[in-house]
Amino acid sequence: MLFRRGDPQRDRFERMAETAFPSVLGTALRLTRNREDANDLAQEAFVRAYEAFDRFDGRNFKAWLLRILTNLYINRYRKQMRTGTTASLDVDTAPDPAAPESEEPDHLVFDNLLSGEVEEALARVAEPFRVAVLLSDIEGLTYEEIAQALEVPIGTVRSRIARGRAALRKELAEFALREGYLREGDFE
Amino acid sequence: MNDISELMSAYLDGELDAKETERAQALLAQDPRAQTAYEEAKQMKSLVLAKCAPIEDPQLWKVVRSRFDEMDRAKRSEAFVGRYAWGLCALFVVAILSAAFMNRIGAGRSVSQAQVASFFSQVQNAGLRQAPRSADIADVVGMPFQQAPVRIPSRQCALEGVGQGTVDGRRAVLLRFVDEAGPFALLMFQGADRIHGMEVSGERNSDFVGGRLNGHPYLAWTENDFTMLLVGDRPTSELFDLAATLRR
Repeated sequence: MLFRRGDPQRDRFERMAETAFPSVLGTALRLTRNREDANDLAQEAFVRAYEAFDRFDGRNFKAWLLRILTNLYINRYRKQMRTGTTASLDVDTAPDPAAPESEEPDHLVFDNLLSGEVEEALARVAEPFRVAVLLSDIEGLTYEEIAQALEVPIGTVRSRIARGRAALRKELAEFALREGYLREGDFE
Repeated sequence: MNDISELMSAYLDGELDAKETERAQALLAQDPRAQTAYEEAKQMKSLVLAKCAPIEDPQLWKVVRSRFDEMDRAKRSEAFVGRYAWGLCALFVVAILSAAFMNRIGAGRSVSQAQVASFFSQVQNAGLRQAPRSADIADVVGMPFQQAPVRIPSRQCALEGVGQGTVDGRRAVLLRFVDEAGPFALLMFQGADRIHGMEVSGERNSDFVGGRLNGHPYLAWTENDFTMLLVGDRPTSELFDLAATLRR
């Protein structure tokens, strides 16, 4: 269902989309870790959302958009970018949530939009755990919304978030101590 | 990853049911491992929230909006075509049929140069019959040519012979005359006002079309539903004079 500019539905969609836009672009960047791919992914997600706006259930627009975005990423972009060493979103038995070396961001176009130790540490967390953490902690989605977006059970989401946070803590131990997020005694 | 870490992480996010919440609170109250796990999860959540902001990009948002506009335009075009497709098709068919009909009507009122030339040759080859001496065309060729808007200028020329046949199914006659300048012929048929492909060379005005038929100069005109061709090996100006004499 599409609408013309000035149509109340089109205006409503545009208002909500504009509000959610920074979250969608941020998530796209943190998923792809490549500016060009992120722009394409975000645009495609908005196009899909606009086409399907009549099917939006009216609850959480941002969660709905992020669900479209992650599905699109899983179905399309990840297939294109997949290499033999890339962790799969479908694998929950990954022994270590730290990303394999080839997935580390230093050789990717990871522009200054996502600079900083936390962003870099997050990028080093293996994809299934990183996605769960960023949807939960940055975007504020509920476990149910994340489960719908990733098409996995809620128990899996719970496990991925806990493991993702633990992996991130390992990556950020020094930084967290320095910034005062962790105390000396907290770090094992 | 142990059960306590998962439990504390989910407790932090407010994602436990009542029974699990009770268990998490009990553990937090008495188990140092649970307290550490809870604090760590809380610190990481705060850190990520504080350091990883959403990304603004007004330029890209403009691009996205322009894509909405494009989609709207495309959809409107599709909707228009979808809604009026049958109408457009019907209009198209009507236009084609009308053009064909008009062409048919037009074709019905015209003959081709080849048909005229063929009649001209056939009649001459078959030989002409002797014509009665009369200034009245009806006496010479009969119906329906008594209506033809020409008269035989018996003072200026002599009628040598008459030939009959058809041009595109229309009855046609050829009268052969001779005058001081030599022989000439008058070819007539009814029911056509155009001759397709007739070679036109030079002389042309609102009444006459001039050209060559089987290599002979001619002057053609239509009048009262009759088409007349005056054919003779002489200058066009003389053919004009002859035509003026013949026309009533």
